[in-house]
Amino acid sequence: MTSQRELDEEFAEFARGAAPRLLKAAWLICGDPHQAEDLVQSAMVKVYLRWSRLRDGSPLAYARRCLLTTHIDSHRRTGREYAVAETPEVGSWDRSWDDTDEVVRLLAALPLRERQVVVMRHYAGLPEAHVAELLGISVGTVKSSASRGLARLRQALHPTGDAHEGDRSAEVREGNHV
Amino acid sequence: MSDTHELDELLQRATAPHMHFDPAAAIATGRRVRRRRRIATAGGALAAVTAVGVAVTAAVPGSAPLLPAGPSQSPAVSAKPTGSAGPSATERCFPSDTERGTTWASGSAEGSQRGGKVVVEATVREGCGEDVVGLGDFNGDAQVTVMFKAVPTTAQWVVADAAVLFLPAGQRPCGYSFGRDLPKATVLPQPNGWDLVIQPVPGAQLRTAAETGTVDICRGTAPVKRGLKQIGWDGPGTCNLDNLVGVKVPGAEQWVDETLTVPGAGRLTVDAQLHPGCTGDGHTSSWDPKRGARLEVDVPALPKAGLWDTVWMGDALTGVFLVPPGQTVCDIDFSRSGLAGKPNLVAPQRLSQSGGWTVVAQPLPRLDNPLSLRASFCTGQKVTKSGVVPSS
Repeated sequence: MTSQRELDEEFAEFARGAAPRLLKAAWLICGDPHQAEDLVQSAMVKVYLRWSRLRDGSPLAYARRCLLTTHIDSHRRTGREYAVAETPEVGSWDRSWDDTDEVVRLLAALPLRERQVVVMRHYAGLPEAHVAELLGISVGTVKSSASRGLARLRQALHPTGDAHEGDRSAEVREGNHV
Repeated sequence: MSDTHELDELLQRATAPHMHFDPAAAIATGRRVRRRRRIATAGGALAAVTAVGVAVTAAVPGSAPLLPAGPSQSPAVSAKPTGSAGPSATERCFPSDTERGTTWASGSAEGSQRGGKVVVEATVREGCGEDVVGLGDFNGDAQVTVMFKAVPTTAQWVVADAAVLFLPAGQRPCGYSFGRDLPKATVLPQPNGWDLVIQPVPGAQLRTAAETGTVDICRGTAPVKRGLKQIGWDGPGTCNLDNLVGVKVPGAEQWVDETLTVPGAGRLTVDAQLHPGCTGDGHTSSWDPKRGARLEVDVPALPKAGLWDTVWMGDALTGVFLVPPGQTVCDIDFSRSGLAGKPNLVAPQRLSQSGGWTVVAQPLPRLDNPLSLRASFCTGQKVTKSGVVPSS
């Protein structure tokens, strides 16, 4: 039987390896590095609590799921308690933040669900079915969210209207998993 | 390049700001969460846990410390159990957070030190390395949870708010080491043929009973066992405070015992114990906010730096600080709390202690996650330690 110390060491090794890309994914989703740290911390605690069962399965998938659900929860809490100046359709910063990184500014213009789908599809490189499972939505909703999200980003990237037409939800590349 | 590939490139190449993640912190928090779950399970107070919000919360109203079996609590001094056992006993007893074992005996009787009933639930957990005893408080009742590592074959007992005995049919207690004229006991026959006996113990005798008590067991007038020790008690040993929540081992030293009145919140008792010989970082836990909140602090030795925790007092949140000699709490950082701007705080309550430490109770605004707060301790204008998180 594996001792608690060995389980802790295993978890720490997993967490060290997974954290950098989880942190970046969290940052892309929420737009705030401090909140990203908190989200990853919360997710990793949940992973730790189930480590003995996850270690032989997909701890990374579980971590991603925790990350997204924690973000949704915190977003709901914040949205309920504190009014935001921008409408969700235009922009929905999770917290005030003065970073000027263009990518995050572009993503912040997306509604929450579209932002999560876009990051999981195009940063984490997850298949649509996997994203659907993570977010608890249908593959169709993933497709439509990704499509709308891309359209909005296209608009932002190419405001003059020379964006390519058509649905570009191409197959994701290998090797970019969070 | 297609839009999607352009986006992929953008996302991959975006330079994230420096962010930090510490696996050790996640492990430490996970352990605390696990302990809290056990506490809630032991006291049947799971409903109370949800009232606080986030699972990784600091304060668990109505919590019930759960400890590897040993001499039990002394509520006359503190509402905590005492105990001394192998540090990994609870770990071995809890391979799963959801399994509680098979109920083996249960019942309740009047006579709790807290004014309510003594409610006992005993289960059998195959695979438990040691027997485990938990004592908690729920709406004024003392909740005693016993987890046996196997079905008992001989008489068992423990002092946890009252003396709780599990006796084979026909056996009875015929003498306690800590007193003779005890209140009338309640005998509760069990479906398994055993008797559960709940023997109230006067407050003045409880500490002695818990720490050194033994009982003689008789069948009729014939002794069956003299000087029966309490469940799991093999004498003082090592303890690990990170595994024993709310535990006070024999020899614990009272460090702080103060009661303050927090404006708008009520009375708050701060009970800090030093546990010489124990290992671990120690911990804090809140207790029974309905009848006057307590913050209990258990550390191996006098800390070298200030520490603090948050306590829910009903709906009011209070930060409780133990401030080293010559230092002050010079800042509470709310920047991660989700509050819009820094709140205006009312003046805190302060109580000086012998040795130069100060207990500070600072009313705080309601927060979803008090663990997001960070405190700074200063000596004069100089920051001694910043970014101090709540201990629990």
